[in-house]
Amino acid sequence: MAGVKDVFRESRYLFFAIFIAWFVFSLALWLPQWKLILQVLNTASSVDSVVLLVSLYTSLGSNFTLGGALIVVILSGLFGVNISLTLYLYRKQFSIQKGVATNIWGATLGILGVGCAACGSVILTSLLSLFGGVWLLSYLPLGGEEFGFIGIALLLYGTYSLSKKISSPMVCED
Amino acid sequence: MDKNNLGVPVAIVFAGVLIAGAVFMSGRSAQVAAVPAPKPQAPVVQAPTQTGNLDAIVPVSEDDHIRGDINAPVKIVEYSDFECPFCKRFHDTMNQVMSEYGADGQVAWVLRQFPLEQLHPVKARAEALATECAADQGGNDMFWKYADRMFELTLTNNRTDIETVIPQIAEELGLDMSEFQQCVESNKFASAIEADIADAVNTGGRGTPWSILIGPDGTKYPINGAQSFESVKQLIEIALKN
Repeated sequence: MAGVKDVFRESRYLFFAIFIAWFVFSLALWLPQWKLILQVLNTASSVDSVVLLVSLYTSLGSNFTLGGALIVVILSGLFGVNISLTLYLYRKQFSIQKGVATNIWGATLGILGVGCAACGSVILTSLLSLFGGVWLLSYLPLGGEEFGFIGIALLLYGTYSLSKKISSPMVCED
Repeated sequence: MDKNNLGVPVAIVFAGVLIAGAVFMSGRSAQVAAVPAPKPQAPVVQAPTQTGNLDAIVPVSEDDHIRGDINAPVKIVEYSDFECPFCKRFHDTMNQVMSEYGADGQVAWVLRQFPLEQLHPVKARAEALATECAADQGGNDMFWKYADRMFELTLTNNRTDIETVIPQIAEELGLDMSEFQQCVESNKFASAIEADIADAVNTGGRGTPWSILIGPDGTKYPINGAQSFESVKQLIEIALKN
């Protein structure tokens, strides 16, 4: 992962990765409560609203299984790293190849698996409910968290391929 | 030569449609796993309309299972499943809430049944029925004692040995066992449970625990899942200020 080290030698990419990771992490915790958040924003003061938003971070301990919580944290971190690496590639005018597509698939599948276990995988149950297929989740051993693990694996592969691309010399290819 | 790779734009478009669609659908009331198939022996109950409308909530009344003062300015109506591990966690959270806000009558906790039969077939409903039968004999206090004990003993995720645990709790609490058994076998509270389920679905419940905090001015705040004590506390403070 020499490419990752090269990128994060520039602190702006590191901070960007952290910001994106925080954003995705926050989204994972806030999305199941979006109706509540909207209601509070409409009725409460700004200070109270911010305090509530911050308090929702504690739901990581109450509203997720241990596996689910780890998936959220790891996925968020990997997503931040991948977006930062991708941005680096864009700026260096490398062509986008399958590594980036893999990252996007990885992030998508990972997001499918995210969600508070109490309310079900937020995205997955919403999608499956379209087809009356929520019962399918009960057949999966981890109730949908499998998608989180697949997402992590894809993001890890994406990180590896992006890192390799960054540290490879620029050559013309047939 | 750059390769013409459609993987990236396809992935982006697919991901965008997937996530946008899911966020949109999560705001609507779609068919949910929680809505059980109608029981042939149960009286017909009006089918849930799945509007996801918090204002459709059945008003809190003396018929409810209430911990605290029914006239409390803040009421938290929780729809729960005794086999749900997160309901078990949230039960402890709500007990903590009541320790802090219940004694001085600021918060009342209402517990309604929401057995998720697609996830916890047979057992969740049996446990719901048992708590109703306990209430039938011993009133509101007995309901809460039975519910507290059930959450202490349940292994959740459909692993509880209900043949042992249900009568065990009834005996521990000193219920008349033959009356209790008769109540359970008669399924007399099936329609009440169905009504609670319909209420949960009508208000937008998609899983458990599903709760609605009703403020003093009638404003309703949806609480999805087992939120932490800190979040519930902050929400109560917001509601009390309004």
